[in-house]
Amino acid sequence: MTKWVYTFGDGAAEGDAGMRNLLGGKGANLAEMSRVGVPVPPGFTITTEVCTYYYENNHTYPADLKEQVMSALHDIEEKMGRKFGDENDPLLFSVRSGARVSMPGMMDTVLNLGLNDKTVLGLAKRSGNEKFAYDSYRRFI
Amino acid sequence: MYGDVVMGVHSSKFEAVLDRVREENGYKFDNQMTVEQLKDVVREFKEICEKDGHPLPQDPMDQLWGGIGAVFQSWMVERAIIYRKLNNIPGDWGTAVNVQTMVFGNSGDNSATGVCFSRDPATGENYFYGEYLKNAQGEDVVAGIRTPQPMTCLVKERRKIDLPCMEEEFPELFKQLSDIRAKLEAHYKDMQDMEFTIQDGKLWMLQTRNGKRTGTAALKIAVDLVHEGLIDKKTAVLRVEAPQLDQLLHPMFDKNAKKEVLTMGLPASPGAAVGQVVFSAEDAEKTVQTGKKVVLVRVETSPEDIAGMHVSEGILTARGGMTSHAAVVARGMGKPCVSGVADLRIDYEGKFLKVGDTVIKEGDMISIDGTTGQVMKGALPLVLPEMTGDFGEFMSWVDEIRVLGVRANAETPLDAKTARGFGAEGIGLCRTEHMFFDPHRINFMREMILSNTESDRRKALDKLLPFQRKDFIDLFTIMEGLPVTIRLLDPPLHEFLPNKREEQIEIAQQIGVTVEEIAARTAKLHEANPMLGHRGCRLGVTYPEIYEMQAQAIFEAAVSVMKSTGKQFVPEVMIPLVGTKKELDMMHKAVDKMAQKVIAESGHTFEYKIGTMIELPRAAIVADKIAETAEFFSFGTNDLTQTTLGMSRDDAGAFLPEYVQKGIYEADPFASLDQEGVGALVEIAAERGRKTRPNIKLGICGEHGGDPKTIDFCHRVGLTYVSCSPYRVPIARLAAAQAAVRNEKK
Repeated sequence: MTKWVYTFGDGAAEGDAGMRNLLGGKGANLAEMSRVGVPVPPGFTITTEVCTYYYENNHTYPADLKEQVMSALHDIEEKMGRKFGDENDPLLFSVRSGARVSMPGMMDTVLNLGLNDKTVLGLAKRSGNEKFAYDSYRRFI
Repeated sequence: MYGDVVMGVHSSKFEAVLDRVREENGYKFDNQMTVEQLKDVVREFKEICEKDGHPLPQDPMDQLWGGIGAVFQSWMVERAIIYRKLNNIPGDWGTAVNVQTMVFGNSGDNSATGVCFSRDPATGENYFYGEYLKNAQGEDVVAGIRTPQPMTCLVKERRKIDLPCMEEEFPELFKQLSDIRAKLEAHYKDMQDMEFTIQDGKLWMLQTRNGKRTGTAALKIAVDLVHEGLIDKKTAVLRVEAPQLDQLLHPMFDKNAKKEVLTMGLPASPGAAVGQVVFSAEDAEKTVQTGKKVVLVRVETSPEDIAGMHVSEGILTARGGMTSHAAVVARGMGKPCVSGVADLRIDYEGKFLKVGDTVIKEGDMISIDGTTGQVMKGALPLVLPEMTGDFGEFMSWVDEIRVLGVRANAETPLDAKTARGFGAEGIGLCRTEHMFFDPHRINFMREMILSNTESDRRKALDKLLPFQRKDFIDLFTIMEGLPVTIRLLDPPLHEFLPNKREEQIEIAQQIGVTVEEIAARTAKLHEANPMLGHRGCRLGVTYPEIYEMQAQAIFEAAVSVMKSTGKQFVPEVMIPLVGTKKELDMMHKAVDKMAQKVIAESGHTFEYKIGTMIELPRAAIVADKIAETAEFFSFGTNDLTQTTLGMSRDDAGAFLPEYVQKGIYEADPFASLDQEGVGALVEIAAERGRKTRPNIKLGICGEHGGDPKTIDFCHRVGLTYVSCSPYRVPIARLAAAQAAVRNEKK
């Protein structure tokens, strides 16, 4: 089974700085920082091989990608003690590109993923800052 | 964000809503909006998505897969494809996707976000550099809406900033971040560029990578890291790129100075130049004699302008590309040059130039930046590059590591001194024809060319002999026994004759012949294709007396310097444009005979070497035979490229840029050696030459001698030395050291 997803954060990582070709520059360095004990918000990297697969297979993903992403996601939820989509205390994600070499501003980034009409209420309640929650929501859309 | 990035709703639709809300309430920034207004904005945004047929997914998992898909899609958007093309990034590398827990720097006053470098990326100084914003998201730091705060009290004091620094505002987190800075730098063994966010009093690192830096910083950081024991000298040598070293060698415009760019051309030769505008090489020389500095402005330049170019601070031309005469000569001289300024109109008669409606007259000040191609009206302030102790130390490591020798192409005493100052280990190419363009002797040269008989030619050559001898005495004296390779006359003779009627009249009077004679000789010497015409050793075959005179001057000069200094050295005589062994044999015999004659007449015995340029494919192919006579080869890769590619450098401007753009040639083959084609000939010649003469000295003396990629090639092929223009010598030394380290690692 090909490993398509590498987790990082909380003092450990499945990847390292030497895996730049597979994880991209950003992903490899996030993994490396996690390994040396620097506080990094937990997350996971989907490899450049998935990108290659995506373009070679008519814009589809490998069959087992979904399972690996879900597993990594649960891993983060456990580390953070919060859940993605939780209406009371939602875990939110950023999604960023990361090629082998930096291509500043060339590709897309999405922040605040996981906000919806219900989770925004939870974010407001937990942070005690309603303005922050709605500002985040409008930035997300 | 999600609306436009993932669902393709045009971002202007969202911006229109924000613009309206700001306008209605008189807000300057989005963060002035109230909760109720934000709720309305959210509602309107969702409506926009729905109307567009892309309702915002409410299921977080749908959102996540939408985001992942968008990142993969963005790998193939046009701007990313163009960026990859410009930066030589293969399209099949693909991108990874990083999904990461959001942390918020804008969730209150106990939150912040910032960007920092472990050392100053401009100067390389070892202190914590960077800035941050309290209660803000990353994009706010970049957007410049609020003034970011400094990291440390040191910077705050230095720059007299009135805002609190992180050291004061978050002392404990600053301490934690400082430890991380030290840890990451020690781990990566290089200066780091980091992003961080503080959410509710907890520090998170979002990114680290090796930081981009200026040439000054690259050098200082490399030297400091060696002193700190983090890297060894070989690694340090790889940490400074050739263009960065180049930055350190030329005067620069003060970055803090205000400037208004008048127009742009090609950045043909790096550096900054400021001076009065002059429109001819003669005026340049006259003006400089009065103690003023000039920038020479021409439609294009020609070999006759050399002296004027030499005294100018910089050169600006309306026509010509990166390999035009102006560009090549300027780089050779280390002069800033901006070439090919399309909207530059020059009126030689009226002595003014025009760009759009702006008129600049002769004598007005102008500033040109050969690093960026910018042209500015007026005199911008210049700062001199600092050649600090770090530079010297770094270059000593470079010399320890490299295997290739580095020589310079030089013929004037000034060039030779400059070359030695920059660390050249000899002269690899002394072009004797440049010595004849001097105003004091060009007419003797012309007399020689206009002579109808050998005896008249010899009379004229006798007048040139003392000048040549003096030239070589100067060179040998400056070089103090280092090798000096002197190339005998190479260009076709018509290059020395004037084409314009007025000049022909003037010269006719000066040397006592009729204008008709000059015109007739000029016409007779005219060639359809001078590059392949009556030049190089073909002159030596048809007019042996020219090379005889030159050889006599070289050997007499050598004897004179050896006698006066009491030190022996080995002059090297080089025959140009050889294609067959017989040609070289004839030239060798003549030069040898002259050497014996000088030895006999002076009573001083000395060694000398006779070698050849390899600049014709035939010479490369029969190198084994040529090496029976030649004691050294010097690859003249300018001509070897022209003759191998069947491409005239002067005419390539019409198609070569498109060739490079379309990837037919990877790079301009006149700037970086075509390794596959011309390089193969170099390898063949080196191999065959060594077969005949195992210890044969092999050098390269074309423009390529200063190109790092070509230098790497020369190292791999095992050449003895590269020779380049004096100002490229430090870069060639660095590139040679880098080639040694890189190829050792492989």
